[in-house]
Amino acid sequence: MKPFITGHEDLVHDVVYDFYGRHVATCSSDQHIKVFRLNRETNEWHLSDSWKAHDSSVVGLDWASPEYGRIIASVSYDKLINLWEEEPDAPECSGRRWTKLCTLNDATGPLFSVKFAPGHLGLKVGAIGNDGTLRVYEALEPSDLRSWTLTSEVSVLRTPPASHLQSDFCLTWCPSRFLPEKLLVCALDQALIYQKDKNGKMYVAAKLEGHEGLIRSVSWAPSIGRWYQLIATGCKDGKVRIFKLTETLQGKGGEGDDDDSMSVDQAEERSDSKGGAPELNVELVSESADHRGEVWSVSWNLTGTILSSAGDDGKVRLWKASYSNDFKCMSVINAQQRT
Amino acid sequence: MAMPGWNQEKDMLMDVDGLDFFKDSREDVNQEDTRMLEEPTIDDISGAPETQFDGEQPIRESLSEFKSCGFALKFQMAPASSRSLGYISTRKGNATLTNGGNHSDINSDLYSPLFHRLDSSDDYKQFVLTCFEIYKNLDEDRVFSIPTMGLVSQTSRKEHVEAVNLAMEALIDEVDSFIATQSIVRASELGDCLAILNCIQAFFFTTASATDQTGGLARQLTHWINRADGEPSELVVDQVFRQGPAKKVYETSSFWKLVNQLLLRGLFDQAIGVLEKSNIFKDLETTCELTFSVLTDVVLLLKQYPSSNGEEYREWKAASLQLSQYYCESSSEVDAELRNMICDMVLLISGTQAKILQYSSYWYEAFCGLFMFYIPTLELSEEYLQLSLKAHPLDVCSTWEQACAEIIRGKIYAVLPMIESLDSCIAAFFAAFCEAQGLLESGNSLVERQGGYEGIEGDLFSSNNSMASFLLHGFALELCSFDDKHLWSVAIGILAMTPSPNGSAVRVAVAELLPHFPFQSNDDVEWLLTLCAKWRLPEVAKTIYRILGNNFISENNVIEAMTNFSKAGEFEWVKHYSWMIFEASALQGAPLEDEIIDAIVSKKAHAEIPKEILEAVLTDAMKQALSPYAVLYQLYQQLGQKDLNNALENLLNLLEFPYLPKHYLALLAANLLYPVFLCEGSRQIPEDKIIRLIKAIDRFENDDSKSIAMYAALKEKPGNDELPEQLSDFVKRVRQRLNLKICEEYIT
Repeated sequence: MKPFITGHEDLVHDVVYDFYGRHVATCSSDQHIKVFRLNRETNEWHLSDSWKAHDSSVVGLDWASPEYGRIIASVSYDKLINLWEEEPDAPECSGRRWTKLCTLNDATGPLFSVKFAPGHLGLKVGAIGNDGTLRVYEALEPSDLRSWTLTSEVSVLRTPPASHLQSDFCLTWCPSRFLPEKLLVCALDQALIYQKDKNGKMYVAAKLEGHEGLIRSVSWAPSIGRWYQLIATGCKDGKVRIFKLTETLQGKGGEGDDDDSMSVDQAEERSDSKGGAPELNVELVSESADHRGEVWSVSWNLTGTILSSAGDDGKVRLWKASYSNDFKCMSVINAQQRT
Repeated sequence: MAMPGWNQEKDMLMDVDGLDFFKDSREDVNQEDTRMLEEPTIDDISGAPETQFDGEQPIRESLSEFKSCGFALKFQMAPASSRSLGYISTRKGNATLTNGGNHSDINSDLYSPLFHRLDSSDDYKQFVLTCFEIYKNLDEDRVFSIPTMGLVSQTSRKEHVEAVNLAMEALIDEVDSFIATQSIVRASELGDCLAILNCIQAFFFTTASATDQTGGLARQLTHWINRADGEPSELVVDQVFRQGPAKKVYETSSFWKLVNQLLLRGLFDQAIGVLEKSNIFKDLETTCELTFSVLTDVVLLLKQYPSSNGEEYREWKAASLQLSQYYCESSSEVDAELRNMICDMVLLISGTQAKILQYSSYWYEAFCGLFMFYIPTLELSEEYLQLSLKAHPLDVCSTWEQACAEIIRGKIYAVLPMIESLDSCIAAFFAAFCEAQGLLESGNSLVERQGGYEGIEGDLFSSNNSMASFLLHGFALELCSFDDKHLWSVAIGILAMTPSPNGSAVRVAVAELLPHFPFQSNDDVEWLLTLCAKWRLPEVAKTIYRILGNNFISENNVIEAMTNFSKAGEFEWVKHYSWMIFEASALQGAPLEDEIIDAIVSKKAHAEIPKEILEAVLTDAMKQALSPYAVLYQLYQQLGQKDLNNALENLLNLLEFPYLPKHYLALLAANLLYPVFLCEGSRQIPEDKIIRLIKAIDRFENDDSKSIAMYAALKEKPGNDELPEQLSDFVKRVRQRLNLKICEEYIT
């Protein structure tokens, strides 16, 4: 498969695959979203449609689970979340194949990241941006995809960052169908895991410590065959970190009871109504500075066995755990033209 | 004594330089082959193999320039790994044009990586399928167990070992065949795997019967080293024979080095052939009867190398010792230098350690020589290895040499990461067969020792499981990233068959995996659902039904979508699409032109649709949800037959139906009630029905947005010009008409 031309008139900010990896959507500063369809015979990507999606740079997008149809969410610096649905009868490349379902305009600052929850949690989408607020919307009536309800609104940062300073925000949902709903939100250099208490209110269940710069990218590994969770972060401090998340019933272990571990802005929001929710224990299992510079993206493969990271050394590194559970760089893809 | 001919020798020598067992890269020159011919470079920080993106690279300038322009490299893994993409983005905070707005310089391309050792070829897929078949066919012999109680069968242990030996042999054959399809670099890596497999087969997968232990082992050992390192090459043999005329070939030391190398490698026929080609027999027959006779005896000894140990080998060894002693202590009439060289050969054959070590070039040649000519027993193998390595250290850059040394030491665990670094498929099945042979500890025994907490579900990759399980599970998950349904079935098969102390971990893994199965055909879906039933995963089956339902919706196949939504328990969606059908029909004022839907609601379904299809498609939920449309359909039929009484009764049934969404009231009233029953000149309506209609109209909500939208949509249709512009006006008109109808009824 050779490089293919997206046709975007500006840099690409996000590339996301649909559930089966047969479509890929891209977004760009040119305010457009493009969807490409895989030709399985030739193994080539063909443009399915392209449309102007926002009035500013489109910086993040995601596909909903196929359980709810073919839906894309996009976020932009124009502070809007747009939800799009494919119109299969509309011709390809007509600019009409994706129709806007609705616009969610609660954010007060540019948005950075949008992610659909895994299908088993229902049709819901989370987004975060420069106002430092996590918002989760839900289509409570899946047959009416034009109606979305703001079900959670959590201030991750007490005060939004100054506009002249560089900032970054990202989020990722726990994909396991065997664990209660939880998601990781990264705001600047903070990485917080939220889950719901018995009243359905989100609280900080754990924090991923140790980041010494903006967290650029985060990816929650599919936990196929594992009883613990793995989360990778890519950070401005040059490190690729992998955290191991385990659940223990309250009263066992006790480390989670240490209030110091929650001494971030959100400590007061910690709910007393957690009920018998299991405690989350976070352990840093791998930390690598191999990129020798900022790490811009991390993403796990389908089964959560291989992690990719891309950084300022112009290389993509692939990491895999050994039998002794050490993550080792198994291979490298150099993106620089050889002289 | 008949001597073997030279031709035979030539046939049996391996031409390693020719590499004719590899795929000829010229035969099928395509890009992938060219790619694979390139040796990957090594990343200087991690030491990992380094590849590039396919074709042009994303970063065309220097790294510092790239970064100073505000660019950042990003990468996204795809569900099918080979389709992952890299791209150039911006350092956030600068998400606008970074080059002054010159669009032509913007790099918005997406780049496909060349993953190191990711083989998506059909040959590889076939290889994996065959290896899995071998594993599958092992059946109960996949598990190593020592029966300690009950009736212990004498033969069962032997049969188990034989079955596992056969499986390993089949794996080796498959690897051998697979190598032939590969390009040189990959074939070389697989060649290393083959060397390791041949080595472990020689030591641990050869049936140790009393009768053929020596011969079998020696044969396996020599096969191992000659396949791993096919020396001496034909070129070397030619060079030895092409030396100047000053000396006869057998008078040179290189000739005897060659002969001894062939002997150490167990290539007896070739050694005899080389001796014969040198004319030494012909020359010495007349010049030195003693030497001639000794050489003839050597040939005889080599031909009679015992195929079994015990008495036969002791006799052979005694004869060779006697011969060496006899020759070295006798005086011969040949040149002293030649005599010494012949003496060395005879001493080597009689098992003199010093000569074996002296004439071997590599540790494995020495090891093989010691085994064949000193004492052929595995009990001394570690000692032989030490002696050999002391004389010839192993090549630390050679994976197969290191792995084979570990195998001889009995450290199979140490070999697994090495073989995994070469090929994960071979490593997984290699480990599985080693575990089945009892060479690796099974998971159960490890659990007892460690007993750590692993959650309720357990873990496929726990260190409490065996290393074979770890490799097999890892390989199974790797196969799910190929977007190939055949490899998917292998993956699920491996997960299901691997001996695991925690079956629920496998079930949980299968549950997480199945929704990702890249189904295409109905058979694929059937397979998926069968697995859900087998593993008792109803929630996963519901997820799959929901996905299928939505797929059918995008194909405009509403009925099949509803069938799947019913099976997923999504009754709200079944209702939603039933009302959509109802709405579409009510809007057009006629039945939908959909044969299947119409057949279902017209009660002709049993006549028009085969029973088995109908049963598979029409669920109880659908029958119930489609009933309003069935009434509407009947109403259309009655209108067509001018059966207005019954048509009005059905219309009333719909208008009075408590679950009818209110926004359909306006639609039914405007499209059916008003034009058919209320417009000027229409027929009389019985009083009781007028009263019922008035009550139904009272449910109208003039300001309901959906009702207004529905009315507006109807008004836009051609032929509806007579309808008032606003819904509220229309409702007024309906009321007026109903009043008029009451008056008519009263007057008459």
